[in-house]
Amino acid sequence: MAADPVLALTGLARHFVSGGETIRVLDQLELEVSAGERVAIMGASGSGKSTLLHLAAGMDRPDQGRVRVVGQDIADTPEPRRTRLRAATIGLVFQDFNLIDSLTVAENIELPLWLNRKPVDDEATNRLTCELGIDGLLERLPGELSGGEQQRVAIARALIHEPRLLLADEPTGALDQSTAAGVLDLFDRVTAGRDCALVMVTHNPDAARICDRTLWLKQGRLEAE
Amino acid sequence: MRLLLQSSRRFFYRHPGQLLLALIGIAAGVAVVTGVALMRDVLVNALDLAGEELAGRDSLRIEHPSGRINESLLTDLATRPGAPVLVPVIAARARFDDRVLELLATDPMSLGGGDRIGLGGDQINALMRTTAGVAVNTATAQRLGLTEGDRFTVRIAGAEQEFELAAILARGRALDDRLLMDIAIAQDTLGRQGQLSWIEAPAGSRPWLEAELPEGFRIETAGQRRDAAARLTEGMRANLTAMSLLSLAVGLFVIYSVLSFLLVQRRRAFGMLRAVGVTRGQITGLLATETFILAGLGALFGLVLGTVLADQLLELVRQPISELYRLVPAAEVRPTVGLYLVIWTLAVILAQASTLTVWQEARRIPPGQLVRHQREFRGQSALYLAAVGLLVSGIAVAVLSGGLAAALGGLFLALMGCAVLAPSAGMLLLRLMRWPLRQTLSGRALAMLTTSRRRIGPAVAALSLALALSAGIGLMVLGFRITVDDWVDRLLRAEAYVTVSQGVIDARLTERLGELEGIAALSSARQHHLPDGQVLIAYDLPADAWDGFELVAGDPAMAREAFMAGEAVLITEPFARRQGKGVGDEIVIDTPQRRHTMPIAAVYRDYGSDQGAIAVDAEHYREWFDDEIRDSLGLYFHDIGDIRRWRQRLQAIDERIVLTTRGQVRDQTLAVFDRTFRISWALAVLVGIIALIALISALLALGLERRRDHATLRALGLTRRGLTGLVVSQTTGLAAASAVIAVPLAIAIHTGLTLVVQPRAFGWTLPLSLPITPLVAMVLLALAIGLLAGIYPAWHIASREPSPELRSR
Repeated sequence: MAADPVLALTGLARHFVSGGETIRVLDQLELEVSAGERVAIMGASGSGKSTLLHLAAGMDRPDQGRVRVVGQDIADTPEPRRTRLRAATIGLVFQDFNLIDSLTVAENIELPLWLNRKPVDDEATNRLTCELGIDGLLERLPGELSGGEQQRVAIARALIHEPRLLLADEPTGALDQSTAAGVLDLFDRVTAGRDCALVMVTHNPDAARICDRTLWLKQGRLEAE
Repeated sequence: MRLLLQSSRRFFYRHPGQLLLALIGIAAGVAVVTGVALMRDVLVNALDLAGEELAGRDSLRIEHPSGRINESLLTDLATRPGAPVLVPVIAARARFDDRVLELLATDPMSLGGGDRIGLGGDQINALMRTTAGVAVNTATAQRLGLTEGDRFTVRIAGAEQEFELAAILARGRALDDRLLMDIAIAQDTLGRQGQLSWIEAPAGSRPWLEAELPEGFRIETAGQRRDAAARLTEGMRANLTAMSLLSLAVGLFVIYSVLSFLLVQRRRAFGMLRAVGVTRGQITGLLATETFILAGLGALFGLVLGTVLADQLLELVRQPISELYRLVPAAEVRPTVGLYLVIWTLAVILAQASTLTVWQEARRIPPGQLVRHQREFRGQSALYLAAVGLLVSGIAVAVLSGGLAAALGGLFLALMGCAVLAPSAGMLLLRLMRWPLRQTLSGRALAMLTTSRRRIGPAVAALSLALALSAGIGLMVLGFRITVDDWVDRLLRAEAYVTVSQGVIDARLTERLGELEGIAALSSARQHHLPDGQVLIAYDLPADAWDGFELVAGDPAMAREAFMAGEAVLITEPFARRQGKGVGDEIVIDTPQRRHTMPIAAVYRDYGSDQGAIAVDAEHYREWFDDEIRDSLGLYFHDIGDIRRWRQRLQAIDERIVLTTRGQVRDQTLAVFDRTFRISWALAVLVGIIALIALISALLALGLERRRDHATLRALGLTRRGLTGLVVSQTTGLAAASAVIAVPLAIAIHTGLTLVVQPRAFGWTLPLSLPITPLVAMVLLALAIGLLAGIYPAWHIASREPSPELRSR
């Protein structure tokens, strides 16, 4: 019997109203991602890639359709339960890093553990930060780091609580080519050894190569290339 | 520059809350300064305008130090060759409900400027024909709610008098809160037959008057009277000015706090502007223009608000001024364009000065998008050094200098030094508060604050300063009240006190009361004004009464012996300070017979008057001045029993007798004190409001600036309730840190006001006491405000879905 997908989007629809006009960003979208699978979602700017990711993370509510994460339907779930599920099962990486400026690198990384009321496992944290090459930056503030360093901290934050699903929104969008390549290699390495699914929204064709499949978002739906 | 200003305009348009806070901050500070300045102007220039209005702007006033002139003098002078037109005046203070009025009785026919005040033939007739008829100007009639023909009751010298409003004067603005009456009718009504308060004479008649007036009378111009009145209120004005300037300083800190925060928000934008070629000078010019516009607009609002405030503040001081200094100020403030211009210019200049460091920081923003920045603020040690310098020099100036202005200046400097140190102290406190809570949501919330020194430091300074000033004033007033309460308790040795509603207490009445069965002893007091303006108080003191004197210098036993023997005088503390006299120095008292040179045997505490007095033994006073009158008697009973019976018994002897118990006198004294310091409480509340603005400004700016962080936390899994708790923890933590810093600051302000400012302003020393109530109230209020001020932003932040904030910039 096939295991439940980690992420299942069924008949997903989302529209926005702008200047009196209704824009159907997502329209009857379908997606299933299994445990350990890595999916790249590409598309033109403004095609709805980030919207898709935010819906998958439960940070936004669809106008129609279902969003199931680790078998739980989150679209109609009340906010506190939706948020707690997100904290426990999902790791997020953003294009602009979104580190908390006023917390140190170590504190930023530990945030998901604290939100899940889990104790800090120093050994596991050390391992992860060494793996990502940021073990020497733990007492620094995000504002003192380069873009690449910040993104690595963001990846550490996304993985520290061993999520079932990793959602990355243009993780290399704010980085130069060389740094972006380095970050993608990191993604490849750290996710390869972990049983978590990866959905990466990206413009970067190199990002697609570390993924198992690439889908294109066109006119509100996902298509294989 | 046009494009830069355009971008600024749009930025402020998109951040209306912050714009409003900046405007309110400066407006609040300017409002307090304007209100106090306008009120001070009345206390200096408008205490005696009524007399000028009646007799002409440059009139001369003939007065006797005793405050009374025999009417026969007027008759005598008026019949001499070359006599100018002399206008007799009787003045008395009256109370209509809670309002203090001045009764001015004169001969309406001799008023040369009758038309000036709208006193025409009809009004004069009405005044002279109506029994107990008075005239008031239109504003006064409206204020009292009276129309022509209305009968109303006022209290004069403890007795009720019924008057009829005979005429309403169309003009005469300076006659606000004055009741104009025919002098003959007033003499009958008030029982002052044959007496005048003063005589007004035309400006050019000084040579004639100097030649014809007997000795003992003085001639004063309006300017001299204004100066004398201004001197009387100098201490009160200085205190109020100091508080208003400190309020302005707090308001300036608010504007600095807001502008500093706005700079943080626009760092990125400024970096980009520099990258495309905008120079440092243009950035500075932009910020200077923004500050000028913000401060200018805010100051304009403040001027309007302050004018409204001034009338309210004036209401608070009118009664104390009347009670303490026997003056009735004008009913309304009189703003001038000149005063407005000075305050507006001062506010704009100070606002620009207070944001100099913001400009400096803006100039240091490098071109291009900021990725990294220095954790520590460069020049921190120089700042600490400057702050310590301000603090030490401020204390030194306050303590070592002799004058009141220097004391206030020193206090101001020291507070500025503390304000500069406040942000660092605040960060330290937040770290300390965070430590026991580090594993909790509140601990995380405080952690997010401790790395934001630049953002919240100015707000902590503004809030701490405002809270401290508010609480410090409260401490000073409450501490003073405790001292006055103790002093009154000690001073009042008699069980009851006798005064009369009309006329005087003569020797015969004194003797009759002293012989009553049940009266163990009598004390008496009589006030006498010497030609040089000094006040003499003659005391008859039984043995028990001596303990009422709290000596601050001099040997009690020796002083008593010398006093009773008529060989020495005692002086009050304010007298000693104002005249620079002490034990062993001498006082010259000119009596009708000869000059007496009297040594000072002791200095005693007296909070009843800041002008000072000389105490002499009454027996010797009566010999020197042939004056058997007493102003009041103190009754010492064998067994007081029912005080109502005593009242009946005494009023059977003389129906004019007013009997007041010790408790009632004490209550009346404290009531005067409370009325006198109502304005201090009002200013403390106003400064508290500015503190509230400072806190809300910081909290809202923090919330706005942290939008993305909050969205990130929600994305990572912090629930709405959790985010609400985080925001409220931050706001309460900020308020708590500010309150804790404010506690020692408040004590320091209280100490400075009590030990340095009060003695120099009023002449008396106060023991330093520390009532806890204002401090506890301040801390609780700050916490409550922090909690409440966080709830709305927290709800607003938490109610949004995180998605829109997390979209790429």
